[in-house]
This record gives sequence, structure tokens and C-alpha cells, in this order.
Amino acid sequence: MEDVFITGDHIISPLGNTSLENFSRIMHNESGIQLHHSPDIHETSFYSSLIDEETVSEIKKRIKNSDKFTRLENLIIYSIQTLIESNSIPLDDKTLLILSSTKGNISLQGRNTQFPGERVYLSVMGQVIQDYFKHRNSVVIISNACISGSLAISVARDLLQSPQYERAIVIGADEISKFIFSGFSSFQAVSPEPCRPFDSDRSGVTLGEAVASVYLSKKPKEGAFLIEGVGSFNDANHISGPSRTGEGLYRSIEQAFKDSENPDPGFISAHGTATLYNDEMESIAFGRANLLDIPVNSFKGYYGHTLGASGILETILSIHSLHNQMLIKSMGYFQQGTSQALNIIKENSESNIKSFLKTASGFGGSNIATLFTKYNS
Amino acid sequence: MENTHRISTYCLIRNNKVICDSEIRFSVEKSVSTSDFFKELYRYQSLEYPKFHKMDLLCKGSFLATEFIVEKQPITGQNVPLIISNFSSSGVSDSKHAQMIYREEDPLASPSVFVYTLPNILMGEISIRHKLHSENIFYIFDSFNAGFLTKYNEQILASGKAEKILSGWVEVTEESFDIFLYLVEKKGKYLHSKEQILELYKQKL
Repeated sequence: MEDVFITGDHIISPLGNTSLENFSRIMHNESGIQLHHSPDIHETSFYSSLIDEETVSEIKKRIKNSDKFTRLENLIIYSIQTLIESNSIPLDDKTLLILSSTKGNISLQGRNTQFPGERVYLSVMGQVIQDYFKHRNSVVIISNACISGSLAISVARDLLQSPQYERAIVIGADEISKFIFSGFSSFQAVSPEPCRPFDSDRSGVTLGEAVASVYLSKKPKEGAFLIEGVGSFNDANHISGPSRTGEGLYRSIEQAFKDSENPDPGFISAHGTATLYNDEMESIAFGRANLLDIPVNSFKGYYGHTLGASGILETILSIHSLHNQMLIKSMGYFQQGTSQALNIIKENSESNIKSFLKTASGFGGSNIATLFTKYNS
Repeated sequence: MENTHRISTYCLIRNNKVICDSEIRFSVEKSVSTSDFFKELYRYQSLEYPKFHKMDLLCKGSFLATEFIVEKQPITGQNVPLIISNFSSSGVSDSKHAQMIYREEDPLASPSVFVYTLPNILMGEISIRHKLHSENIFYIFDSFNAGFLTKYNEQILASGKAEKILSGWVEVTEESFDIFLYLVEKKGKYLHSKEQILELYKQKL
């Protein structure tokens, strides 16, 4: 398989509009999770990590005809635009745009807005983005629950095996609306306090918003990260509950290692949603894969669960951790809360590791594990 | 890339008819809703699978089409990636969930509706039924993109990741359905090419 590298990245989140700003703020223990009073999303106050409307207005000033686009489309366009500018990406036939989202413009569903009803469809959003950038290739869209972002990186790597393409921009994007909040609430899956992944007192997810993009290229440069191995397998067990044996995730990790030349992850960026069952399942899968000694964190304590964006957001934060030789503590964790004792990162710590494993799991029984290694010229 | 694989079996469900490998397997003359058609088809297949009744229409249709495929080519327990696509994602359940949470009286979300507001759930249902611990990818296209899927699937098979792929298009609304699933593998009756796939997909029912 031809090597594919992540050579650039960009994040919009409540913790800033660049990857560097985001990383610097989590390194200083800042979290985007706050108590919100927003009846549009939920009747009573709730914890969430939301991009504030002032930021959205600022971003819209940088987009041509921004009023023609939905809130989420503006953020997506801005992220792509910034990534293109900062990496001088040529938008020719050899460049792919790949969008991952669980629900896209679903906030429009069942509401009267300035936008036509068809705007709720992801493929219409794809067309809007393609038109904005006057790109010749259709935007490839992946909607695979909470593994969407990581899966889109894997699909991009597959697609770049064709000589037809040289590079890809992979975007993960989701926003929080009543549609999504009410659904997670109905599962009793939303935490009444900021989420606490892997902790013994964890009580569910905190939902969050982010738009994150990575630039994938067959040509490495200094500081690039090789997508060394990927595995993705279904639990074949339950549509909304994770497997008790961690089967799909375990198989995914094994495959990612088999796919790699010399697997040696120095750290794991776990899915860590802070639901009882997800975190327990992950601990079992990591145990079965003999990874209990490897330092692990969940970034959900800083951003909440950003759904289709989470895989890309957390991959970028992991890359910046390795660039800064700093492993970031798993916010909200105090005491072992899973049957397998994981090596959760309790304090930011210096480390010069070269490789990390990113995992994600989601509704529908889907799982993915991706091993990334720092490029060394 | 050269197309080295074949389609061993396919199932097309449209206009109240089911066609598998050029043979009409089931049809209903009168006009019926999507929901009633799937109920009758479930009865015809004499399945006993209580989980079926909990599924939303998108899952039901995809599930039933897969039963016809598996009847011809057993895939149970094998590493068969599911690479499936549609236009409206989980549109049927999305509007149901939205109606429930925005209604004036007693606005309330139901977890049994919300869980189906993700299109990949249909692949989860198929995976459970046929014990497929395999890769799942759900693509959104504006219409059935045979060219993209053929190229992608050939590449996955060439990489050695798997030897068979269940792929296709599953567009379902309350009023209509357009389901086309097919199994790609080493041997089979039909060529695995964009042209052949479109010919099968576009046949008049």
C-alpha cells in the first residue's frame, strides 16, 4: 500500500479557531464545556461544549455570501478555506474533498427556516461545498455514526491508492441541536455534570461541537504523520450497546497492528465517551490487546463528544501532543472506573514517543482503530 | 484498475416487486405503503426474527434484501465488508423523531426511534443477523453511484482486506423504496463493472 500522510490540520471549536490555539488551551487545562441556558436545544440548563454565536459571526465575515449558507456550512467552508490557504493546497482534479458527519444540517429538520427543505440532506450540503470551491470532483460523504471522522481518514487513505488522486482534504463536522440533544437525553446518556471519561463516578456523555479538517498527501514533509495501519470491525452484537467483550474494537486494534510495519504506540487517544458501557468495553478491548500499560486519554473532557468530528479532532490533538512532546491528561478522571486497570494519563507529562493509536466506537456496533507514526526523513 | 471480480447474486426491490438474479421472486399487485409491502415480504420469506418488527423502514428493506442474497450465497460469519449508500440517510426516522420532539402536546423523544436516526444502523442489523464482524462504510450520494462503488470495492478486494463485499444502494421513504444490494466476489454470473451494475440496477420492474 502506498504511504499516505497527514501533513496539515485545522480546528474550529469553543477553544479556538486554529489547531495551535486549541492545543495550547487544553495544555493549560481549559475545557470548552460550560453550563448553557439555551431553550432551543434543551428546556433546562445543560453542560455542553458549544461554538458561540459571536465566533460564528466573525467566521461568516470571512465567507463570501455567507448568508446563503447554514451555520454549519459556514464553519465547514471556513475550515477548508483556512486549510487550503495555510498549506497552499491546489484544488485540481487530483484533490479529493471528503466530508464526515453524523447529522449535517439536521437542525433544519421539521423547522421553518430561510433554507429549502432539501437542505437537510447531506448530499445537498456536499453540493453546496463543492460549488463554493468550484471544485470539479464531487464531495465524498461518509455518515457512519461516531466513527465517521476516523473512518473518513481511512477511506481517504484507500482512495489515495488510486493514481487518479494525489491529496485529500478530510473534514469532520457536527453541531448540537434539539434533534441530537433530545435523542441522547432519551437514552439517559447525557451527564448532569461535565463528562468524566473512565472515572468511577462517570455518568454519561457531554455533547460538543467542532469542525476539524486534515490535509492528506502522498508526499510527506517534516512533521507529517504516516497513517500506518487501520482496522475497522463491527461488534455484530447490538445496535445501541457496545459489546461486552469489546470484540469489534479488539479486532480493529489487531488489524491496525497487522497493517503496520512495526506497531509501537506510545499513547492511545481513546473514544472515552464517559458512558458506563462504552468506557468499560474499551478497557476490555485494550486489555485483550495487551495495551493496559500504554498511557491513554480521552479528549472528551475538553470538548465533549463531537460526534462525526470527534475522530478527526482527536487525531489532530494527538498529533500536536507528539509535536509538543507532551501527553495531555484525561480531564475528569480521578479513580479507576473500569474492570481493567488502564494507564490513564493523570497529569500532563513530557514524552518523546513517535506513534499513537486512535480508537473510536459508535452506534450500529461500529469500531475503528488507526495507528499513526511520525514521519522521519 | 482492472475489474477482476464478479457479482455472484443481487437483489432489487422496487415498484412492489423483488427481482433476484433476473428472476421475479415476489410481487404485490395492489398499491400498498412501504410499510405494508415490507410486512408482506417478511411473511413471504417465513422469517422468525422478532427484532425485525422493531426496525425502521430503511433497516427493514435492507434486511429483507440481504435475506435473498444470503439464501443464494451464504456469508454468515465471514469477513464480508458492508459498503452501502443512499441519498436521504435515515430520513424516515429523522422526520419521525423531529415530529415527536417538536409537537405541541407532550413533546418527547423516544430512544427506540432515535437509535434509527443513523443510516449505518442498517449495517448493524445485518451484521447481527448474519454474524458479520466486518468493516461497515455508509456513503451518501445524490443518486446511485455505480462508478464510485465499483472502483472502491475493486480496490478493497485487491488489497486483500476481504474476499467478498456486500454493496449497493438503499433508498427508502414512507411512499417508495429503491433497494439494490449485490455481492461481489471472485466468481459469479455477472461482471463487476459499472456498466453491468447499472444495467442490473436500471432494469424495468
